[in-house]
Amino acid sequence: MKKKYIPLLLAVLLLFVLIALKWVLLDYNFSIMIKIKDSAYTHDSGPLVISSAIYSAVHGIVGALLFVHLYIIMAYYFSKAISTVWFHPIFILIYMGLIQVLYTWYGIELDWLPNYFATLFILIFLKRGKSENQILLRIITLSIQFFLALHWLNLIPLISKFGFGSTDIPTSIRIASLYLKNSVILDFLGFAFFGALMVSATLSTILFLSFDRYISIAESHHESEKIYRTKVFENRIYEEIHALTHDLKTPLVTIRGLSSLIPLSNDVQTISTYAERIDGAAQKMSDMISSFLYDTFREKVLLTDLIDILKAQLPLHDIDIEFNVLLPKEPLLLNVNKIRMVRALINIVENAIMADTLDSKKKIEILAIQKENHLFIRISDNGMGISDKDKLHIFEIGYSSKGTTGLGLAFAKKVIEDHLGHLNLLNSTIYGTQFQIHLPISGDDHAKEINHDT
Amino acid sequence: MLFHIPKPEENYGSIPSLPQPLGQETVLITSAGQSSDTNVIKDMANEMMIHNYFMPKATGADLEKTNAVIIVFGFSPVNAKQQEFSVEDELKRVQNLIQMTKDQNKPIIGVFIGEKARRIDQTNLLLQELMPQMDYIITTIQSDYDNFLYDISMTSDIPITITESVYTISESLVSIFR
Repeated sequence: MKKKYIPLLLAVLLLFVLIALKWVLLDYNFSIMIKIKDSAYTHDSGPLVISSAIYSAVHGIVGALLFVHLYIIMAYYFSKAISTVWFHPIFILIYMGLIQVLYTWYGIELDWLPNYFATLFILIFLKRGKSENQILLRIITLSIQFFLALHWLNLIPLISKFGFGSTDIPTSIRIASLYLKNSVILDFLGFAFFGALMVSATLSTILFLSFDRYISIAESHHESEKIYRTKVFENRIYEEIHALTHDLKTPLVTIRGLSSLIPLSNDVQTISTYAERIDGAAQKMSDMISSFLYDTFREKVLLTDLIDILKAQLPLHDIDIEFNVLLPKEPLLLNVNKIRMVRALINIVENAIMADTLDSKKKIEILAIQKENHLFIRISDNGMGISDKDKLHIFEIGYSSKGTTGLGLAFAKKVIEDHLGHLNLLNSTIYGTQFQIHLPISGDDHAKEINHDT
Repeated sequence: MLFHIPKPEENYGSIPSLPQPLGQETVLITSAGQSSDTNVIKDMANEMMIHNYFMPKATGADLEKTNAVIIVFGFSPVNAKQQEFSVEDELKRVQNLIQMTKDQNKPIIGVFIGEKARRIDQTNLLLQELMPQMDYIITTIQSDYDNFLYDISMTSDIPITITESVYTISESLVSIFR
């Protein structure tokens, strides 16, 4: 069922309930009259109190149901009118007219004062909040509280002179209480229930307003975070472009160098060799650009070459680090996006480089193990580890405990998963951290001897 | 005049109670309008040990073995809806009762304690048509806020007692018989 029809169905249901209440109200009214007569005979104010509670509850609920019904209809068909300055007076007029019609059909007198004030208060309290947040919950909560509170005023003998409780039942209750000389009990109960329900309604409104404020703040933060993440991603792209352009320089130097030698040589064989090497460098540049542009791009590369490129791009000579690499004896050919896989490995190793250590020297070890069709690369360091709280979030985009972009491990995880692999944090203590990369390798990834020129 | 509640001394014709009995017990207590105020007067009569028959819808046939009639005025829309009667029905019944009571030379006392809220159109009709035929009127300050009953008593030369509150009319009730 479409969500937009739910309020309409609710309004129709409420209408049926209001119609059915006619017979309930008549029965309740008569039973209240019997209780009032009993209280005069027994000199017991208990039945008067019960009569008062039943009267205010029943008529309060009728008023509340009609209010909710009417508000749903207005919100559904005249939603644009809700924000206009004329909505309140017109709504009150329509409501008072409708409730008079309803009570006339019921054949019961209407106490209009409580209904009028309850409608006014609810509209004022609703207007202060953001109307679209949980509107149905708000009007039901507020209408029940306000209507019940205001209908208790009908049963307070002390304020009857102001027009409250002018119908048959409240009058009968009041006369009986005056005769029994315990009208003060009704005064106290009436004010107590009225006060408690009004306080409850006010607190409900404050809660709703706080919720509105919270939603506004959360929305504002969400927008700011979106803008921040967009900027971070842009910066990341610039970083990748920067790394790519840096890598492109090497084959470009080769092309320029060899092309400058060609005019100086007369030997056809030499020129042919130069031309082949220029072509190789150009192909390499093309492959590098394709690696960057297309994440599904794959090329065959030896594991040892991958590690060598990794080592070449790490600032190992600047920092005093003991860097060990243990690879399988048998050369292993991988079908990967070389640029991205190298970047992924760099991101993981850079984390190890940045980690503080209790030892006198930083140690980083890369251990690659092949088990059948699976390659496991473990990157270990002797840093002080990752806290339990951070472990839950280290692969989240934007999360960082060191004030960095927080994208390195998230990027690495994505690249490895694009290769149908997994990146896991194996363990992390104050003595070190160990990440494991698992990559599936196909049967023909086992290396054959290859020659390639750079 | 909306919030004006006249003090007893403002109604110079009001008496605290009858100087001498008007009638004898046993009294028939009935209602003109079927409001619950009738039950209050009935209980008050019981408290004052006034022998009474309580018949909210009494007719002339119920006058047997009674020596006076107290009619408690006040129309109840709730009871009218439940028992399916109209103000015209009440008017007719009580008018017949009054006529038969007068034919038997028995005193009729009219009581109204319903305050301003009970003064709806139907009650006003009953008061206007029937109260001038009473021999004695008992009411409260809040019920006669506009001197309506006081004016009837002055015009029709009927003794009237206007008390401060409903629970203080017991003395006036007793004075009818003792």
